[in-house]
Amino acid sequence: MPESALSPRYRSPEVAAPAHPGTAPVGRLRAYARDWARSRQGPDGDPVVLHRRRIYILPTALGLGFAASLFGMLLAAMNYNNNMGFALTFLLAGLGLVTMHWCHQNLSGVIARGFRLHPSFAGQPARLEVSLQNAGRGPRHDLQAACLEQRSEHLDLEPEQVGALYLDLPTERRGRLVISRIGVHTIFPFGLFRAWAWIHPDCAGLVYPAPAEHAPAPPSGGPEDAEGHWDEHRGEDDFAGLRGFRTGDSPRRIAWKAAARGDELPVKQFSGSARGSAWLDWDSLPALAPEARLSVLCRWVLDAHAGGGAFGLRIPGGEIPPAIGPGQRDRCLAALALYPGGEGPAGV
Amino acid sequence: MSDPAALRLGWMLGALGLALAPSVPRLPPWILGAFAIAALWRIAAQHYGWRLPPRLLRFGLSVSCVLGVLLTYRTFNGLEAGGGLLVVMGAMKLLETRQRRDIQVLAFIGFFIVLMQLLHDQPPWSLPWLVLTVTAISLALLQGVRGGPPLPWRTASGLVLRMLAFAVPVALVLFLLFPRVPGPFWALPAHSNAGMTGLSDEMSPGTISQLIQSDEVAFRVAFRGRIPPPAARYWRGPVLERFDGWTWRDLDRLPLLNPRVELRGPRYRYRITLEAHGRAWLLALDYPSAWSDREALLTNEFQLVARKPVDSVRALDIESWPEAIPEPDLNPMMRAVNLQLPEGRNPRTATLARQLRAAAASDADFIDAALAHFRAEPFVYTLRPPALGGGHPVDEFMFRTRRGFCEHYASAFTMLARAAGVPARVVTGYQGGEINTISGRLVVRQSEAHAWSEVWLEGRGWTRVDPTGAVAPDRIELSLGDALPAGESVPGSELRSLRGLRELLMSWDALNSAWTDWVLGYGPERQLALLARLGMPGSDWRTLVIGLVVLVAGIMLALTLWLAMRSRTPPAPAALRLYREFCRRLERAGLARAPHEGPRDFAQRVAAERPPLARGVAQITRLYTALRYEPASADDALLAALRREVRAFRP
Repeated sequence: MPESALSPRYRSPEVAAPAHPGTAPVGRLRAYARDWARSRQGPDGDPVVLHRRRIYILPTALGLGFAASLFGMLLAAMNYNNNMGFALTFLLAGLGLVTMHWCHQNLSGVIARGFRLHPSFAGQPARLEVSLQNAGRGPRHDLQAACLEQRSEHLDLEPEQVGALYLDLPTERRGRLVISRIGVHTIFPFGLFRAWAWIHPDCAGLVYPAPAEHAPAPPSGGPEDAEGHWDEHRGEDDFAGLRGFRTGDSPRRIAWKAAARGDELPVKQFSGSARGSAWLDWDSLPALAPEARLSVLCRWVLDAHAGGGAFGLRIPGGEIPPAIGPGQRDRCLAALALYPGGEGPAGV
Repeated sequence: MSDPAALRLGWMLGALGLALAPSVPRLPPWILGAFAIAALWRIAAQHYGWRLPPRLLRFGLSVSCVLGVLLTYRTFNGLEAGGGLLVVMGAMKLLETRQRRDIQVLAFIGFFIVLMQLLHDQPPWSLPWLVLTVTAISLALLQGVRGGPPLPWRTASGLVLRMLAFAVPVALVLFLLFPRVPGPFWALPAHSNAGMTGLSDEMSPGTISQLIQSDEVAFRVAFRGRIPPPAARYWRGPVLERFDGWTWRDLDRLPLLNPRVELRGPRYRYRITLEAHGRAWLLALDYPSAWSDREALLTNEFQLVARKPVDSVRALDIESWPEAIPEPDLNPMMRAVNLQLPEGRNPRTATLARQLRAAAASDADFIDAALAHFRAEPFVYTLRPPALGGGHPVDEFMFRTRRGFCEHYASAFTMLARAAGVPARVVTGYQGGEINTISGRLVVRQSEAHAWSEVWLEGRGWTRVDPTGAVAPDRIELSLGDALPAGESVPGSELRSLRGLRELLMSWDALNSAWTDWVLGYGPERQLALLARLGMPGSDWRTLVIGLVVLVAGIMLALTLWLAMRSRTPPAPAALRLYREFCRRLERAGLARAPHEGPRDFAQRVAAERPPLARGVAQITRLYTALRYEPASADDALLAALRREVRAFRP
């Protein structure tokens, strides 16, 4: 959630967003404001034009400090009956007022489109992509997207320009990550005000199970023996090349001699699985808990895809026939992510 | 300097330098040094990638700087000490400037440094300086707060100038209409009087000749109608009644309860604009009968005083009657006060007074005889009188040195009159003034400070007698410079008498005078006068507030419209709008176009699902694609055809 959207506290984007306790009265107020905005605005399609009427604006802490300073200056000018003191105070007050409108208009009329959440593995950040388009005739500055406590970089848009903002959302569990709300913010020009808009897109992405680090070797089509065990050494004749080390690779597969020559850890690849199709089977891992099984299966899918052979997935309630290619990998990973009985949709 | 952090720092340092520049002569050298060292240190740290000073060192430096301010000013209260503290704080903040937040704090410190300077002094150039500095600090703040890399300076200054284009009218409206509540609300030790020149409430030999060394303007006067002749331009300041043989002092300032003045002769109406002098008295031509400040009052010595010290420019309208007869009857107490002389001081003068009085037929004759004495004896009017010493300074002046300035003559003459039994007192103030030919105002400078005597005569009341006029008539008729002996001159007068420069100085003075009058002297009365001139007589602060709100809202509306125009999406082409209307009609009929569907695919689907519509849909789609994708064939006739078709289309 863009927790800080209602926050009157100006938080420097250089500082990582701390987690907000949801129980504090301020937190409840924020939640209430967000629900109110959602019921007021309704769900959004794609693209979303950030109309004037759906842009909210509040002073930041700096803005409140500025107002307090102005009040102090006004008192000083009155106390000394000093017209130039009044002139300074009023000029700054005018600047503050202009800043408020400027900040609001900096966001108003921006078109947000193309909300896309790239799939990721649990524990790794899922990348959310938001494209913003400046359809107006003036430039816009310092636009920032926020979602689930994360903030993107800042984006400047010249007239008629489209740019993308990326958010790396933390994931913890596999499942379906539903993006219920994206905030688009700006504190331009002076950081005295924060204008923001809430978007409720129809956007979700998959979080695959985390690939197991120490997985039993995946079954392979060819060298699979009667017990379903896969003999690694049988395939070593079909050495196909080297690739970079990935978490979970068996140390036995590392090309130690080649590793001594360079920085990377090369891993030997075998084309053994090309001989036949492998079934990655839930039931071949009887000793493990469901989530651990899914992790192992995920590792197997990745390895099988990297190996280049055809593979199929068999899990309770579903079966994906063997095939090859990225499409097959994604299908299998999606099936693993959505496997029921696991934990529900992540982070709503 | 392509490093964004360095650029941000550079912008802010430049802006702070501009804010600090006018205060440089006033600040103690060590504070300036501390600021400069902090700035250089910070720049070097940025350039060479040094680490910023550790927290403990910063804390130590801050504490010692604050102590330094306390030791320098002996207080934290007041403008000077507050200003010093502000600059020191800015220097310390520079040493820990790392993040955006620090840049913001620096910007705020910069704004307060500007305020400090403005409270201290408000010359005409302070307005452009103010706008320039606010622009620079805003620019630095804009760059400092920005999330992305700093904007090119042209873009950034263009942005800030556009914002100012709307902020300045708002400031103007607020300045003109914001209801002014007369301060002060709390007693801050205001300006230290040391820095201000002006009359004092006591006079001893040398007081006034010291004051006239200053070329500063004391006040300006705009007359309505006639301007009094030079000899009548006596501006009454403190009236001194207590004499100890050396110094004349102001006794007290009791209000004049029942004005005992017989008004006669010509009347002068004028507006006097006083520069700040830090004391409570106002100045007026003899004898003021009406004035615009309700807080001001006339003392029983006919001196106009305000309730609060004149700490900032003050303007008031006064009506004066130079030939009025004040106090035709003198009450016994006043008489006693004005006959008082210290025992045993200046015996020779007292003896001379008694001799002159014995030889005169009346008090008036005695006055003439005393003035004749000054004329007959070899008295010299000079700015550089010899020092008077001993217990009998008046005797020494009257019989030995005989060289003196107006305070010597006024003191000696008043003493003579008192010794002869004629009630008399010393009046200090200004005499003369120069008409600025450009502004048409009378400019009275400190160098025109003067002292004279006032004696009370039966039937004539308090009568002004200026013994200086007996010795140096040119002082009264012409000016101080004309009255001084060869080789002596009034400070600043050489500059003013140069050809060409004189006009320039007059223009500068006219500008100063307009500035003082219209900008610095703008107050509650002027606000109401402005409303009256705009056709709203008799209005009060409520009118001001309403006008203020309406005008500011108007400016903000203009800003919003302008900004909205800039951020508005250009309208969709006519053909697209018509096609959308067509799609809406189909949607209502249950045939929604999917987002991925192109016009032709959509047309085919509609034709398949609703054959009766096929012809119209095909026609509209053909026209639309021609208009949108075949620029060669797109013309108004085609558009008109599309419009016709869409309007006629009823699914």
